[in-house]
Amino acid sequence: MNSQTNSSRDKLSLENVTFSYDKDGDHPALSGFDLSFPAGGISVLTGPSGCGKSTVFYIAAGIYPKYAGVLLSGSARLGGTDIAALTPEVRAHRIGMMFQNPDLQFCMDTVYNELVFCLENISTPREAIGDAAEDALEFCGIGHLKMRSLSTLSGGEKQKAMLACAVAIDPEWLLLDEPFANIDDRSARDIAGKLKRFVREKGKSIVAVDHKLDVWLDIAGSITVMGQGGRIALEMEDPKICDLLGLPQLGVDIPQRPYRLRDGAAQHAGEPPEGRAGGPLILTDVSASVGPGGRKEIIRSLDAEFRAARSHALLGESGVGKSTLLEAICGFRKYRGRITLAGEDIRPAPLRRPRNDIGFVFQNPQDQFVAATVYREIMIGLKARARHGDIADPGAEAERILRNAGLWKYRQLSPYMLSQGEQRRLALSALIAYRPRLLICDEPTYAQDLRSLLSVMDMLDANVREGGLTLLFSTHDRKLSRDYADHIWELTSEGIYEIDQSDL
Amino acid sequence: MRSINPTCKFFGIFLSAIILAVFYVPELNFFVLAACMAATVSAHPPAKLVLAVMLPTTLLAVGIFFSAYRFSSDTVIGAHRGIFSDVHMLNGLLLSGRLLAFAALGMLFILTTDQIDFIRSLNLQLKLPAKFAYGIIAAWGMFPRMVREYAKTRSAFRARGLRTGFASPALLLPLLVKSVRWSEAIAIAMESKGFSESGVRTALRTYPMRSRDVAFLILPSLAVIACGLLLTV
Repeated sequence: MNSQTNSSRDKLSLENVTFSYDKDGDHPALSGFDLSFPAGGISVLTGPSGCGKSTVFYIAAGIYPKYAGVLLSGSARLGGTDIAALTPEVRAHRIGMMFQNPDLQFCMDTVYNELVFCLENISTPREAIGDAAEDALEFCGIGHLKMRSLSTLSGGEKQKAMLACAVAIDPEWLLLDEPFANIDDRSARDIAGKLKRFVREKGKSIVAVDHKLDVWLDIAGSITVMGQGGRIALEMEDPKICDLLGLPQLGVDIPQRPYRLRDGAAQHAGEPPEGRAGGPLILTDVSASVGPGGRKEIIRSLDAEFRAARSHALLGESGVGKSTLLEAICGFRKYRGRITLAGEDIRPAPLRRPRNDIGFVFQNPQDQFVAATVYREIMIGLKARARHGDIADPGAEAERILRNAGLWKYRQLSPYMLSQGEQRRLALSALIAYRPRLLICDEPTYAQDLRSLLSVMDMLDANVREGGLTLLFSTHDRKLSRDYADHIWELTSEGIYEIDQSDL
Repeated sequence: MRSINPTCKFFGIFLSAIILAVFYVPELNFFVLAACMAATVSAHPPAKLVLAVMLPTTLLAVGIFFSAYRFSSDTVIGAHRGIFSDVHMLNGLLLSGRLLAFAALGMLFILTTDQIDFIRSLNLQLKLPAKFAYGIIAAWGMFPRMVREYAKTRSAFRARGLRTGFASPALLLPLLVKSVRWSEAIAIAMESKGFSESGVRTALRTYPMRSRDVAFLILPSLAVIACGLLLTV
């Protein structure tokens, strides 16, 4: 790989890096790690969860070891410069960043104020700030969002605003940490196009860390795959889809290849059509509003019938009201119209005990843990069922559920100590323990790598097939809906429609 | 009102409030109340916000008036004269008027000042360290998110059939854990945008101290002193 002396074409490299999150350094996340990214293109670093790709990102960005961990040997270098030794204002000129969670990367209130904040930080002369901000907005195509409050933007718009900040600061390198994890496909492709222009027109270099390759495949100049234990498993220059066929073995999903092959008709043989729910979930003329005082009507007059004992996927762009609809069905949000499950109106009556025959799994599993240990998290639901005489031995049932989810060995740990995939399985198990008639999941595979995605979806699928559960899940992943849902629905600003599998 | 330097406005109002506290003159409280209301209204804030501040305060003031009227001591601190010759009436008006005057002073500042401008002006004028100034602004932006997350955790508990009281530790603990994580994420994002605690930065907006700003710093306090003395004598 080329190493020029010209500073604008310096390569970014990690040299002999040994890095550990604990002080003793007994279990280093990276050990004697070497990797370099060539200047002037888009390089993608991928791998399953826990492989150390995020650690590489944070070291290359100069954030670690300042914020976490210990660097036991080696350094991250840009040309001849040690990145960790640069002050933030100098480093910003050389390396810009964009993060996974669009909500947690802004300091100011409006898009324009945020851009001004960035430009002031790098000591842009006062008279040049206005023009530089306008140019950045124009480059990202978000001039119309200039005076909008950041908290009112959708995930995709926030990521564009973040990109505008990077364009305004104008660094040599841009590092991206799963920038599309929270946004819909269309916004992701739109931003990918802008990144490509950023490289081509402004001569910049990009490193993206992502566990999904879909959007990157068309624009990446190189793809590096990390395996377990912080080592490099595969490096590809100018990758094509046919080069990627071995990736699923390394725990990385590849575009266009299905998650699983299925035979939908056979799987439903011999199963009662009304399932555990006893009948379908029917929405009649359902509307709901959001925002302060409920001023903004986000879903309007929806009519739909979700068949019992089937899995239903709900697609739709960010901000179209998927979460609002799911929350309304669960009784977390007020709505107008009528929602019935097996003919019974599900609107929560005032002062009645909250119902738990409809389960809701949050997008972030950490939002729903209520107990101090994994075991107790499951027992809350089981004890409720034991009170109703539904099961005789909650302890044995807890063991069965936890073993099924592969979590029995962690039963005495705090839920917060589990890995992301384990947390997700625990959150699902905790709700499955109630034996709900209807289970609603808000993006069940959000930020999951291939292995964890498959284990979560297979667990849900088994409950639908064998337990007669009615499942409704929202997702941005069209492939997931095709491979795991019996019915696919799309929510748009016009209404909700069932779409044919072959349209995906 | 909106164009006055935020730092001068803050200290002008703050000094007036302190001076007001040393006078025991009911008329002065109502004089300050009227002046603040007039100044606030002249800046055309949303009527809803004015009501949101003044309505509860007025109810509270009426309550305080009657308590103070009914349970007042016969000795009265400070001078009294004119229409307020009745000791009980004087005591009631003194306490309730004071509450209204302080509320109006606070409202005048809040409804006519952009919070971000205020903090930036403190940073530029009073050399409040940038890390505090922008830390406060970032935390300000996180507040609505905390409220949303709290409601979300509460729904999660309800969905599991668990009852929780308002501000129960079981709800606050996850919020605390998340707040620590968010603040770290925001700190990293700010640093990635070139912000440093000690670094030199430029400023697009400056907050000059013009003669009218200095006048606002001093004149309200002088006016309160003058009125206070005139009404006492």
